Amino acid sequence: MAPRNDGVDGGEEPERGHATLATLRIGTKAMVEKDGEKRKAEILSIQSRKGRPTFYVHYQEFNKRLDEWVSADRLDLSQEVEWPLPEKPEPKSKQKQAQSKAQQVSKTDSKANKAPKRARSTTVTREPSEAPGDVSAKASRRPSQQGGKENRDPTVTIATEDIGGTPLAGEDDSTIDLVDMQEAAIAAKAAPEHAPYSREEEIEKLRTGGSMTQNQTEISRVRNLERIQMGGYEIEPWYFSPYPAEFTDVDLVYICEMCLGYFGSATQFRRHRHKCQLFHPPGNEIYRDANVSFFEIDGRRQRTWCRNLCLLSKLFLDHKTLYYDVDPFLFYCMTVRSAHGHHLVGYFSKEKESAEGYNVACILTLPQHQRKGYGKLLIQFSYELSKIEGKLGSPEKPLSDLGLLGYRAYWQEVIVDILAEREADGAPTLSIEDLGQSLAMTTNDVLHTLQNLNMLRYNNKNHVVVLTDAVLEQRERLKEKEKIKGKRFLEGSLLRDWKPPVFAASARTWNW
Amino acid sequence: MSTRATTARHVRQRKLNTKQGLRIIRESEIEDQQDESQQHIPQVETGVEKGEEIEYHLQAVINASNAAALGAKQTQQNYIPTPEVKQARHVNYDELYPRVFKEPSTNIKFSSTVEDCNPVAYCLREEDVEFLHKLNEGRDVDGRERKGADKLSQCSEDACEEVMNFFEETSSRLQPFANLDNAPILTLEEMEQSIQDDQPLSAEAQKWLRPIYDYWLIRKAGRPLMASIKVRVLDTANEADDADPYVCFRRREVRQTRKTRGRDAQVTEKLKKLRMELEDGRQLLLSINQREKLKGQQGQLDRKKFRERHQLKKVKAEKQIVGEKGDDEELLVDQKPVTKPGKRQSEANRPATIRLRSLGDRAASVANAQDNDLPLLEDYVTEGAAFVSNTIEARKEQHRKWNQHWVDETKLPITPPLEAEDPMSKWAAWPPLLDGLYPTPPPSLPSRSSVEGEDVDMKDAPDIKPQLDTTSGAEYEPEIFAIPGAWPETEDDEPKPDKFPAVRLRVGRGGRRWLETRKRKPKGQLCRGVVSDDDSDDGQTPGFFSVPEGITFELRAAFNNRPTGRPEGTGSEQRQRQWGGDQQAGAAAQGHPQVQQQGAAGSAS
Repeated sequence: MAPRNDGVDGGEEPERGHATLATLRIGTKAMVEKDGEKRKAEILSIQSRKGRPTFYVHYQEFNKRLDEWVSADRLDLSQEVEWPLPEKPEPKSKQKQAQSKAQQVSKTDSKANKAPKRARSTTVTREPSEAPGDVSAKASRRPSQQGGKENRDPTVTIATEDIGGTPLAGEDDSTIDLVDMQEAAIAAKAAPEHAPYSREEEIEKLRTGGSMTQNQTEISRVRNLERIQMGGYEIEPWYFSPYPAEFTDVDLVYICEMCLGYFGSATQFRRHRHKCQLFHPPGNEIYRDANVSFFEIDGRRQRTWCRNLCLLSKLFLDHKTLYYDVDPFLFYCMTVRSAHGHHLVGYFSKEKESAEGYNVACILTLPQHQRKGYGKLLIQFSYELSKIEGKLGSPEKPLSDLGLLGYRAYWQEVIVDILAEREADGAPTLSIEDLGQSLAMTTNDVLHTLQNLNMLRYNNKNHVVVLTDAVLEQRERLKEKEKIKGKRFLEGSLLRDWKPPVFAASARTWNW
Repeated sequence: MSTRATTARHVRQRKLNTKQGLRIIRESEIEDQQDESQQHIPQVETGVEKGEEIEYHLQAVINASNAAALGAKQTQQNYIPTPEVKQARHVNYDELYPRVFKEPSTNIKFSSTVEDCNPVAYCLREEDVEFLHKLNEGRDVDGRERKGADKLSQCSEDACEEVMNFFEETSSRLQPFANLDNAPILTLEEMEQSIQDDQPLSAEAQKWLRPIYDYWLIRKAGRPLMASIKVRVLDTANEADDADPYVCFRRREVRQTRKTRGRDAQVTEKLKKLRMELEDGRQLLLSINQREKLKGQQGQLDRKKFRERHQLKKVKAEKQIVGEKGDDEELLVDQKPVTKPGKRQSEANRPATIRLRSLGDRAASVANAQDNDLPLLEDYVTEGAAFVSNTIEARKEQHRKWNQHWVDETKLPITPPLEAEDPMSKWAAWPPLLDGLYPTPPPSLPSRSSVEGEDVDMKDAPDIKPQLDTTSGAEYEPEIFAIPGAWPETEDDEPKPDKFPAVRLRVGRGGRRWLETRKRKPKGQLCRGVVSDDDSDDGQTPGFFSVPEGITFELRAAFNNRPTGRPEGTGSEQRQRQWGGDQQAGAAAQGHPQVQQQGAAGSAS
């Protein structure tokens, strides 16, 4: 799902016109200079800093992690801007299509969705909330919803929150930031029109499935933390994360590298470090080799630590949801050791019981450790676990862009390795399923990888797997690199003693 | 792509079977390089959200990798840009994270929580530190001189944090919803009353409760002082915060099992069963307890008994009382009660039914096992098998012994020498009743098997008595043959009738009869260049010996007891023996010591 109003709104032509700094409002799309070139960007928030307006912009077709605050001089107002679309009720047919394609929705819900959505005012004033008439419309709708099992239309709750008279953007300089961002986030969440899933469907999905990823509608669109300090690094967060709202005002948030606690003040953080007695993730070390260790942590037993971890990783994972608690997950944390203790490098979470056979829910290498091959180790570890469990695994979708590249690289490497070995052994036949079995990969993932690398071909009326020159060359290059930099690979045999944890029915329920 | 090409391809390509082995080949081995389908990458599901899939940087990377897969040379490394990460400035890492960690040699096992590792969650802020300074200078929150303040006593940062933490925790425990319903802030007295026994405040912290409380009161504004995330702990039905992105980690509804009457009954049954089982276990333990106690008593009694007997023996020894033999032994050692065979019998005769062992039964059998070990069927079987095989071995051995010195000669015809005038005068007639009358080797052990089976029936040879005068005994006498030279003679030429018969008649299976001669023991010295078989057990191989050509005639002549001895074409040993069997021949042989000698030499080897 593209960010809201990304310019392809059902073929409807947006209103265009010239704007001044004063008339710019949230939702407007203007050309903004980015790395020497101009790109169309949507204004998501406006703030005044030192008396000068600054704009939080999302560049079209760029990942949200590149969203940033820009000063007014980077906006090119000599070109026309696109004004935000007035919100219109969805065409009935389209709505129905979307609904039938999506999960089953009760009839009352679909009726409710047909009711006019929060109309965005065409005035310059930013009004993310409903017009008064809208509220009454919703109020009248309520009884019809009571028959539904989950009364969870978020627009209703917004109406009750009554944030109608939001001041003009850029008018109230001192108060705008926090409230503004919260509202923006709420507004973003409350825009289910273009989502393939409605909000209630999404929550229902979260409630019944163990999913840790979430839909676009959930995402608060403006980053709330400026910078964080973790260990010896200062990191720019990529996305919104529900750290305490106070932190929005803070320049630097301190994260304890051991317990992952969060602190808004340097003094507090120093005091905390003075007391913190944790030197490694609070679980059992299930793997150790010369470079890294892995810890297995039960979300139910280490609730605080796992919550801290989720808050932290949410800063870098767009699709992660923190809507529900960490109980039904296991966290596998990779660390490197030093005299200071175990430094968290990355982790992946895994449902204790995945209905869809996922072996990874969320996976992240912390930004300060990225581009060093750790992601591959995490991925490999997840498959090593699946091998021991005797299951085929696949990561939960959606993947992020970086996640996709990481997985594709890993899949390519292991599959080409096996094929090349087979070929060298002189027994050059292998079925897709056997390939998947030996790597604990789903048949689909194997198939996709082969197709994507153009290795699955048709020859002499038969399908064949081709070790193309391209993949062999890439393999050689990788081997060269490993010779220089050292091979980063896990030793599966060191995991021998690991037993898949077994949970009693009571431990699997999501009760506190 | 033209429609034709498309359809053509669809017709041509078979479906891919993922179970079927696919050949792995190199690119150069592909035959139809021109196939259009090879020239583009099929659209593959990426798993990335549709909206993000079109993102510029991702597309750049995907396109580059697709191009590479199609054989294009990679021009530049594509990557997805991410916000920067910097080394933090002004961070004294070693101070924040002291180098105190020691890697244990084994894998870490750890279950303490964050709270366990850091019991005082509250951390002083800058304002707090400022306040603490004031406090330690003897001033109050509002800067006034504190009454009765001891200038020397200083509140440490740790104590201050402990107190603050205590206030925070207590207020959140007693008023969990303070931020919602504007509850009045707890007074210090209420706080002090609620100090929990399991989390006592340190003595130092208690000193500072009041001054810090005043400060805390000012700081406290209805919300926790430490920044905290919004976690909804109560009221899952309230959905007001559903859209609030700051609310996270909601609890999920428990999937409740529906309560029905049937389920209740089930649960009751289960509980009953559980209770019964527990009761059984308890009874078992009680019984064991009792048993052990009884055992202990028994042991004591035994000891006492032994002592008494010992005493008695002493007395007996002193008084010189001599009892019956073994009396004393009996006194000191308990005699095992003789188990009555009748009981065992009755047990064996019991019908073979499956008995459920009750507790008492098991106890009884356990007790029994101590007295006499239960005989095992296995033992019986092995014993029986051993007996059978022993018997067989013994019989085989015996058989071998019988045949040791005997050679079967039946095959060759026994023809009497041609005797014109009166053959019968020289020959004893075969007795009419061969069975039982002819000398046979001693029977095997009187074993049942040979009685029952069709075994070889052999009879004892009667003792050989020198009955030289019984030649005329037509019927019975010729049973004993003496073959001169058939066995080594003693040194002196005095003929000693051997006690062994020279020939025997064996009745084999099915009434077959075997005529056997004794093997001849060769006497080494006299043999010339002939090596005989040893006396092998095999009755089939006749003992080989050679008779010097020169003496054969004389020998035969002697056997035949005919001085004129007619020339014979083939020297048949049977004949020799036949003749040798004749008493008179034996006597005649004795009359020719030389011949005898020679014959003996011939037979020996």
